[in-house]
Amino acid sequence: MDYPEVEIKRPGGAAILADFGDKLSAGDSVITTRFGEAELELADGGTVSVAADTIYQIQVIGSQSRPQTVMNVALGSVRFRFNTIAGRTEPAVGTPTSVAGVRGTEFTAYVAADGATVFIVDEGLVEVSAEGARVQLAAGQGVEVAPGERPGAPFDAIERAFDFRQYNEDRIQEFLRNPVRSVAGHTRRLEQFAEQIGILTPLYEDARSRLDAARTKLETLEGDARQTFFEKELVPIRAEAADYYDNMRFYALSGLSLRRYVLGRMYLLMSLEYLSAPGDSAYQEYLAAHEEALSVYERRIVPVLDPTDI
Amino acid sequence: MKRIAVIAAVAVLTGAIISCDGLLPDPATPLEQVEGFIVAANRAPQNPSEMKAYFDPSAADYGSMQLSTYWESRFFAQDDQPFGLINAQAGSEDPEFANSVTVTAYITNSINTTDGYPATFVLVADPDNLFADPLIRKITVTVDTTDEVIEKIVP
Repeated sequence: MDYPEVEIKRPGGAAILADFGDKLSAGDSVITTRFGEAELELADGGTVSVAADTIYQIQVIGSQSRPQTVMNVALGSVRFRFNTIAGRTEPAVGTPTSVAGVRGTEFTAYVAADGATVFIVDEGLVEVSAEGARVQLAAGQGVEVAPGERPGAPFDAIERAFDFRQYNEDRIQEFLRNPVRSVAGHTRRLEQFAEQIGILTPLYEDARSRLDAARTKLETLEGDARQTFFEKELVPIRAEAADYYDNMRFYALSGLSLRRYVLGRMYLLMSLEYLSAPGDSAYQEYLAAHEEALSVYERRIVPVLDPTDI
Repeated sequence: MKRIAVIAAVAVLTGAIISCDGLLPDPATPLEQVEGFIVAANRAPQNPSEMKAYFDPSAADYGSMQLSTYWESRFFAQDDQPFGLINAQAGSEDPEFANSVTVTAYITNSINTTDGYPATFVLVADPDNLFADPLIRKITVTVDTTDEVIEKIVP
């Protein structure tokens, strides 16, 4: 293969060419070029079809006893077919603007270059949430979520055939007309991730502090008392710390994805658009908004990331 | 003379092919892999990358296992060394994971040095690579009523 049509980017590693049978884990990204497509098989028999020009990632959130997989579409289009398994936590599908909860469903998520998203459901139910609002979609329905906005009204996707190429082009034009608005929407999203990290960080630090105290106390105990203390006191605190840590990493990696794939692409679009007029006031306003988004990312997300993530 | 040279060349080539086959190492058994992981977990200081190398990339926590912070909050924390295996034995396939083998054991640590805690390791093998070592997909250690799970379930 002369051109990397489908690549897998693992945390802390360079992108590698995808091959048949490759396994994916949390934190991995599948990146397709305009000539590439990927068909992923889920352990339960479901499938994920990654179209060309798409960035798809797998993340995990929740507790050790009840983890939830979040399949993130950072850009492009991905078709999901989930099988329902009793007792298993249903996965969620995230995009730069929204999250969709699914119930034994077939649907497609389309994410344009500015992060605007359209969900179209073929079978089952999908609940889309963004900016504190929720919309439930049944088979044959679709919804659009613009950056920083609540989900729009559901539309009939059977009557209105969806052309993603055209939609993406329209969104790019919309972004170029009002780039500050789009960037501000993503800044709010970054702030939401940062807020979650802000909530989790003291909880994690508190759990770590209690864990350290428990370790100190453990050293003073002997025999059965030591073992009982370890099992009844220390281990539950350690499990709590592990859950907070995993969830902090989830939000930090979500922020990294937004910065890398959405804001980065927007910056590229604007740089090209204003290549010959860098002093244009619209471009300067955009740069200020972009800097503000980067500031949120650098100050509130990066400290939680590990150098191997970046 | 030419005839001898050709025969010698063929003999060398055949020998090389046989040698190559003989040089290919047998894959580790699931039990050996679990023992290897325990050896890695017992290093002081721990090398998270070495511990991670025993895991299958489809393990959901795989992306964090190279970080020492990850292991500090798990059963195999360096604070609780040394870890040991009691009565480790390979069992049948875990129905949740294709091409898997379970290894059950009791794991001792510095707190419970005699009986240990019941543990189940699920290892998966690559059906397309007969020479690859089986890798750990999931570890569940039951401590009292808290299950400490190394990695999580991912579709």
